[in-house]
Amino acid sequence: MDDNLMYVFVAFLISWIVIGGYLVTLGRQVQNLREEADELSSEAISSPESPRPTSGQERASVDPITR
Amino acid sequence: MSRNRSGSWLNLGSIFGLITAVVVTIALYMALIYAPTDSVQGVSQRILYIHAPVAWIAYLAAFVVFVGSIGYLIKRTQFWDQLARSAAELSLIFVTLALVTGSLWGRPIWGTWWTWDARLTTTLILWFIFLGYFMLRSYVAEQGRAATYAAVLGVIGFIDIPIIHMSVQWWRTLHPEPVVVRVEGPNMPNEMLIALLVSILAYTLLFACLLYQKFLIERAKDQLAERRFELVERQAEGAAF
Repeated sequence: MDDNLMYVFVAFLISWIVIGGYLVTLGRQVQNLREEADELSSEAISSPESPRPTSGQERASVDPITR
Repeated sequence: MSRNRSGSWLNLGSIFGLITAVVVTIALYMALIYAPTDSVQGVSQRILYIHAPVAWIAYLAAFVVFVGSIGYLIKRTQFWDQLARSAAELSLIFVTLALVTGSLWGRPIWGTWWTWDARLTTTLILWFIFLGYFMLRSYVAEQGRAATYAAVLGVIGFIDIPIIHMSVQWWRTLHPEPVVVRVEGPNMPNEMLIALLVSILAYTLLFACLLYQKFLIERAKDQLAERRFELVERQAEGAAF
């Protein structure tokens, strides 16, 4: 095997590990935001001083997936 | 396949992501199999098909940071800051990849992992600028001030781009001169050129997908923070009475 093939392999591998890792990080951020939105939504509902949000309205406005 | 929260099976982002995945797969095939092996550099020349696209994306992301930063400094709206900080993260990642893949290419061709060459040094400066961008954002407590300082740094970062690009012509350097973007036209066999252009297209699509997702996340973070602040204010008002 050409010795230089290892450099090509490592260059592509590292790049795709970094890009894949970044995609996973983005997925986690979306998940955390959804949980935070759910938590905020339930806090808003339980708070006696705040008007009760219409169904899904509170979360929909902050959910990065719902467009 | 699961439904998303808006109830549809596939949204626009998913379709765009699917197209990107197909183009990236084609680009990898062309880079590793379709393109002929270089007669001088051998198989290590194939690093070009990852190194040049990631370097291009680093430039493109820095340009988006520049646009977002100028927009924020003029309009002072969150949209521009969200755009700039989303692109800055991607720029930092892709500059890092350009440095790493360049180093892996330099080792078999130049015989060294790193040299204080004009192109490499100016690219390293760009990496430090974007690292500083995030350090600045985390150290300045007030969000408005942090966004302003970061916007100024984002503009400075973009000024480095033409210096990086022209460095191979302005100074004596180990790094080769451009082989595609030249007045005389591209200087490489057609198969190599096609593989390179498809790779550039694939990584550009990937960048657009990542930027779009990151922008939505940054926007949602700001919206959540605003709503939490409003809720706390309402609760405080309620407690006062």
